[in-house]
Amino acid sequence: MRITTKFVVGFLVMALLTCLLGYLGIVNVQQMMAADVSAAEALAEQLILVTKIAMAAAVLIAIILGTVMAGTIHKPIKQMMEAAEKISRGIIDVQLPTEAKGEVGQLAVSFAQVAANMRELADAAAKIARGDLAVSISAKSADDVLGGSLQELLQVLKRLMSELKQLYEQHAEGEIDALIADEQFNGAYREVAGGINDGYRLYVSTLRKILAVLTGYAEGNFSVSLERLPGKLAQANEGVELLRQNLQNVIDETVTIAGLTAAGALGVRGDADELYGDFKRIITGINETLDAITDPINEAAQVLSAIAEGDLQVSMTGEYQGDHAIIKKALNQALANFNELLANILEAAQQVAAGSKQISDSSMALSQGAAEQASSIEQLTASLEEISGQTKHNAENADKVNKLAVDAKGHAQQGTEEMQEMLAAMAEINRSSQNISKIIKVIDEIAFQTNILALNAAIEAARAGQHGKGFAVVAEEVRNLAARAANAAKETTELINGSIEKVNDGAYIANQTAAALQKIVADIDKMADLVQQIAAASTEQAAGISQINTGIAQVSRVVQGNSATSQESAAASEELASQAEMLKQQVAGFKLKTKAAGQDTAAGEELGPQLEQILAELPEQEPAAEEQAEQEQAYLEAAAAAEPKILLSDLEFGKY
Amino acid sequence: MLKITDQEFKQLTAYIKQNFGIHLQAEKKTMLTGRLQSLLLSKNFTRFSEYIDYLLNDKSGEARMELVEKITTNHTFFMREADHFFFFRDHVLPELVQNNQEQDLRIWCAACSTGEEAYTLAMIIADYFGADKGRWDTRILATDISQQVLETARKGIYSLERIAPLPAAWRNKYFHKLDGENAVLSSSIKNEVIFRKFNLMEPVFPFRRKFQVIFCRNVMIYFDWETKTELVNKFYEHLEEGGYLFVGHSESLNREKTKFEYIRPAVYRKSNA
Repeated sequence: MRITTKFVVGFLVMALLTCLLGYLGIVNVQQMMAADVSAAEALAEQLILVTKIAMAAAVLIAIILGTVMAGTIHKPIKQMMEAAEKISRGIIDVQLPTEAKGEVGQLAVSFAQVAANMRELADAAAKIARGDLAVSISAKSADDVLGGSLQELLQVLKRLMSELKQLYEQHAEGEIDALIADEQFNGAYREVAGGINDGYRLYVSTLRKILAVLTGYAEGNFSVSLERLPGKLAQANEGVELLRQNLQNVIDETVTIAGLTAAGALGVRGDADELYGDFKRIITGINETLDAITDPINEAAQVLSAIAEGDLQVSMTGEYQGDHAIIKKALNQALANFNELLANILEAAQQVAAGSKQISDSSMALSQGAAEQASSIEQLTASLEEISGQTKHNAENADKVNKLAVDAKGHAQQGTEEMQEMLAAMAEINRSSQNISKIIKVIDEIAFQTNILALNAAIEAARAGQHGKGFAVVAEEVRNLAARAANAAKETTELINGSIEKVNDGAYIANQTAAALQKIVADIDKMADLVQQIAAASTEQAAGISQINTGIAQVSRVVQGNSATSQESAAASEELASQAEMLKQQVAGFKLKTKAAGQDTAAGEELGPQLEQILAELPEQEPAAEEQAEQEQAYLEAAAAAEPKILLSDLEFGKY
Repeated sequence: MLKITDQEFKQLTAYIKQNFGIHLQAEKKTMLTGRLQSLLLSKNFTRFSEYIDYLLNDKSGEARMELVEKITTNHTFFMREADHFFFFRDHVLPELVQNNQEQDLRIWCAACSTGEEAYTLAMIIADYFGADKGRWDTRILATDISQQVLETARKGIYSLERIAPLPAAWRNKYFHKLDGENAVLSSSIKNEVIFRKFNLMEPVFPFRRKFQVIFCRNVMIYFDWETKTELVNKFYEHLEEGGYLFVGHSESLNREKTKFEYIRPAVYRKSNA
């Protein structure tokens, strides 16, 4: 194998190593793009290690070449031959006979010089092969093709290195479209540069594809997918797919949580088990955020539930920050306000209940009093109504009496006049009686004569014997009649005498009666006056009573109105009391924090000073007189005991 | 004029209260002696104690009735406490008619005096039904303890002065002029009222069925508290559920003690169970 070939091989190896290095670099750059800085450092170290290994390999090759070249000279020629043979085999580290002179020596010297030159070049080549491009190679002559070529190689390598470095720097700066200007290289170098460029293009296009997919993901479009990359690049497929899945999972989970949370299911948490790394952190972060939000909401909900059930003794106690602290403070403040408000309402309701109860009681008492007043007045009205009727009746009667008195007076006067006439008539009777007396004397004498005649007739009849019997009977009858006539005359005389006496008495009485009648007339005059006065007074009374009635009726209306009003007021205050009681009960349904419990009875007794005064001024009911009641009870029992059962009611009530 | 001693007065008033419920207090002494004066004279009593003995030994009930006539005050007039009639017309009657399956109104004027109240109710009912009375039995029971006033009431004759407070339509429709001073109720109204003698102190009310409405106005003013309470409780027992009790405007019930529900002044109701 020729040395040049070995060099070329060495350089090619180096070039390949460089390409490998470049490839590794690109891979590492890509990884660095995906990974963080620390990983990049690790990769850089890895890169250096790889480079060292490549260099060591180059050195190893150079040593092998030198040893081979030196070992060929055996005893100058042999040594040289060996050296030459070695050299021909590419071994430049040859031992040349130093002691040899002459041509051999010269040859040896030349050879040695050649060897030295070759060694120099080999060293340079070895250095180049090891990657040390800091060597300087000078052409020994214009025809020194090897040196010139080596020099040219070095320059090409340096340019290549410089291009690569620039390429790297441009790519490191993100100029991913940068490529090696491969037209300045020839042949294989152009190919190398082109290959590098192709490699870069390939990776850049792959990167672009990945970037396009990532941009799609970044824009929220998960429908894009990375075309299947060959070989190990398929890792990128896996990575991108994993990324997509993770992002999709995170997004799905987040959307689910957000949806449920928006729907009010505050207890829902994201499932972070299937996620890794920071994706897991996103979900756990959301969960923690939800916890932070829902804890105060949950507590507020509990507190509000308690409030809804009437328990105002609760409050929010958790430690919260920011807006949650504001919610907590506001809720607690609202609770405090409610507590105070309801306590005040309770107190007021208790006062109103107590007050209205008292007003109700008082109105009731007032109503009772008014009713009693009204009932007394009602009785009074009824009695007065009757008295009024009676008084009218009295006046009418007095009028009648007056008329009667006038009549009586007339009659009495008439009586007096008639009495005079009667006296005259009686005197006439007296005179007539005396005349009758005389007539009776005549009748008496006639009777006497008749008696004698009858006696004579009886004697004559006796003489006539049998024929005079009838005549004797007649005579006897006549004699009887005479006797009776005499008797009658005698009685009549007595009567007439009595009559005359009586007429005299009568005249006396009649005179007295006339006098009495005169007095009666005078009295009736007086009486008529008095009765007239009574009639007038009764009429006046009737008018007066009528006025009293009107007045009493007015009073009655007022009192009845009072009675009705106080009943209504009692009803209203009763209603008020019951409403207040209801309010009290409703408020009592709340459990309050403040002083409420003890107030229930205490507040009821305490009324405002004005109310107390009003109530104090209300009239009190008088107690009934007991001793009187007892006695009445005794009489009642007596009346009940004596009472025989007599029905004062009908027994039949029609359809009832 | 015969005087009454304190003891006699107490005995007599106890008797009166026992029998008629009327509570006469000391201030009524003059009234009582005045009213009984002619009665005692006509019976040749020289002392009230004699009259009391006569009363206690009365077997026929006649003495008691004489006493009733003397001591009862029968003051009444048409449209007395008219609010009640309006309330009856506008609220009670429509309600009764609506809730009545049997077409039977049972209304009781428990102290009808000379009949003005009962006839007024009868006229209200007649107006309400008009020509559509059909099978309805609307006859009112009107009772009083005084025979005299019942006789007056049955006649249905009132002076023009007394019927003046009534609406002209009623005077024209339900009254006929009798002479220059009096008018008589038409028989259609008179037949709507059943007048009976009844003492509210009867220990047992003999009525077959419960009433829907009871008017007992301005009678209990003469009763003491206890008697009044007892009577009101009896009324309660004899009212249907939801039935109304009308008392005088000065006879309000103690709202805390009565079972009645207060509706408005002097109108009470037996609550539905």
